[in-house]
Amino acid sequence: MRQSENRVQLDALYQDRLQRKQVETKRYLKLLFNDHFLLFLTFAFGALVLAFRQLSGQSLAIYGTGVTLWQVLATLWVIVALFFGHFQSQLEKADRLFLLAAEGFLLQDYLKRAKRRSFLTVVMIEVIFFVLGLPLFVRAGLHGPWTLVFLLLLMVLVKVWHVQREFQTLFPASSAGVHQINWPVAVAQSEKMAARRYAFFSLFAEVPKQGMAVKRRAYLDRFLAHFSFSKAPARQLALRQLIRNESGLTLVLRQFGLTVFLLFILRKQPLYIAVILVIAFTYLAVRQLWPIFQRNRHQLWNKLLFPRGQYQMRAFSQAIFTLLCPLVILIGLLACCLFTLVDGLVLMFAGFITLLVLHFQIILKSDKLKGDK
Amino acid sequence: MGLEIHNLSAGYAGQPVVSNLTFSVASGQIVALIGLNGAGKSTTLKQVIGVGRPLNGSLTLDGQRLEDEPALYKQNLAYIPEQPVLYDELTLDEHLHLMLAAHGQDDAEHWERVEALLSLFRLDGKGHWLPKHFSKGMQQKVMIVAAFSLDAHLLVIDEPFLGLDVLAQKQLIRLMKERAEQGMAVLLTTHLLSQAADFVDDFALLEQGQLAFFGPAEALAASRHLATNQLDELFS
Repeated sequence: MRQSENRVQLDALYQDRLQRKQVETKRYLKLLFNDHFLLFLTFAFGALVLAFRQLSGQSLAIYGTGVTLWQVLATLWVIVALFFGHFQSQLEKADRLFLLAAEGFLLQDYLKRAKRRSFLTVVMIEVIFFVLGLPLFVRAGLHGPWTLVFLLLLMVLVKVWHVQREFQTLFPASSAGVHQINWPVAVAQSEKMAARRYAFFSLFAEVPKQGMAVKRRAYLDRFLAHFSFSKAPARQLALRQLIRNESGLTLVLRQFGLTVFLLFILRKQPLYIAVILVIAFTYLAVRQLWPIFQRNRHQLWNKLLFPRGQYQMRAFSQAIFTLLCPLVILIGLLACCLFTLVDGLVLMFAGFITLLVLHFQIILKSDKLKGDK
Repeated sequence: MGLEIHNLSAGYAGQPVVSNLTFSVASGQIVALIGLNGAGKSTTLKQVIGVGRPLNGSLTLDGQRLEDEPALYKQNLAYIPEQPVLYDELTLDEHLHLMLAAHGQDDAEHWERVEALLSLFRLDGKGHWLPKHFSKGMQQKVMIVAAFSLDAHLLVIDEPFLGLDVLAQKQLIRLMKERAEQGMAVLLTTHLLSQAADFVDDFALLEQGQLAFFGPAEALAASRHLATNQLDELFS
């Protein structure tokens, strides 16, 4: 019998999987850090630095508590940091069947490597969060170097303890002290980690086989009832896909919240900064909702019900317009309160013009679609 | 009238999986496309529903050529895939409204039919459910209700009985017969040959991408020296 040359080396299994994951991550990060996103990041970072400089001279004491806003923000930053980083086993569903007989090897070799790697990763994550949060910690009153070193050590130790606990849950020891693999839990945890990673990448790029998180949002049924399928069914379908897609809409709403917060901070700055902010928000919102179309366009029913790709593309763009219009109006109304009436109208106008330009850009692109009659 | 497949060759990456297929499914006729795995059944169905590009040949539905007016061609067909395909974001009711609206048939008369079908397949009262709330069998029933709610000229079904309970299988066969009597052309694929022999008019047997036989169950059985009720032994 012919033996395949592509034999799997068990002792290189973890390394192979890790390398595969790194190559995949690199590929997706290239898509994520494109020109548009970098532009937005630069602007958002600039706005945050500006806001920080504006507030850094103030104590921001919270009335009657003896606590400052800096301390609250620093605590929140540490809590957020502790949520990141988990045990990464890289186990796959099929391992339960194919590697069942190699459980001894997995425990002795594979999982030890996985544990080392997971510890290293969480330490790096905590250090990065610590460095980024340094200005906040200093404003919160942690001046001495030893206090800061103590905080860093505390963050790292808590996280390492957490990962160790995860490891013990996934690979519990028997009464004789022998570890064994809790396969259902270990595979479920590994799949959950992979799903989180893909869910993040799928916000920016098309991830194969990545199911979309969907939320019913029944409270919006009354709103959706105004959009009957009888008129422009493709647009109504797109509108529902946008509204019920958990990740896309949630991200846009978070950015909307951030934009409103930044507008509040920038209310005493020249208006053009707020205008750029609104344009950046509108632009990025459209960019982030568009992958929902790309993921759905090849769905079988789209091909059968709406064979013209041009029509599908335009309908989706119209649905994005319908969804983002209320947000732009809301920004305008809030700006009327924060700035002046005229400034509010200018911001609303900037948002609508950006939406229209992007809509027409999509229409032009759709005209170039080949093979669509 | 009905579906006419003429000299169809299709495949992947320029390599034909099916070659020079020619047969037709007349209005009111039920035809089963049969063959072993890899014989080309799915490739043929893909071409029939217009989601693949043929290497050669043509498909015509009620005189409308697919390559001339794909949108009009697709307006006249209903399709039930082997694996249920649903929009994650749409509820059951919304799926049915969308299907009817896309075919220009979202009116009270069709919705009455939808409600009867929902009741028949025990899906009534679940109109606000998302696909993730349905079992696979129930999702398949949604596909069936959607397809039978349409006034289509051609019904294409890929492995109709997969994942369905016995009751639903019987109801599906009854519906297929009813629609065929009303003039619909039905093309299906199946591996359950003896079961299909009870309601299918003609079998189209594919072997290595070629049409090896086309005709009724009796003739197919006779050509292989089998009794009609022994059709399941066809490939042994």
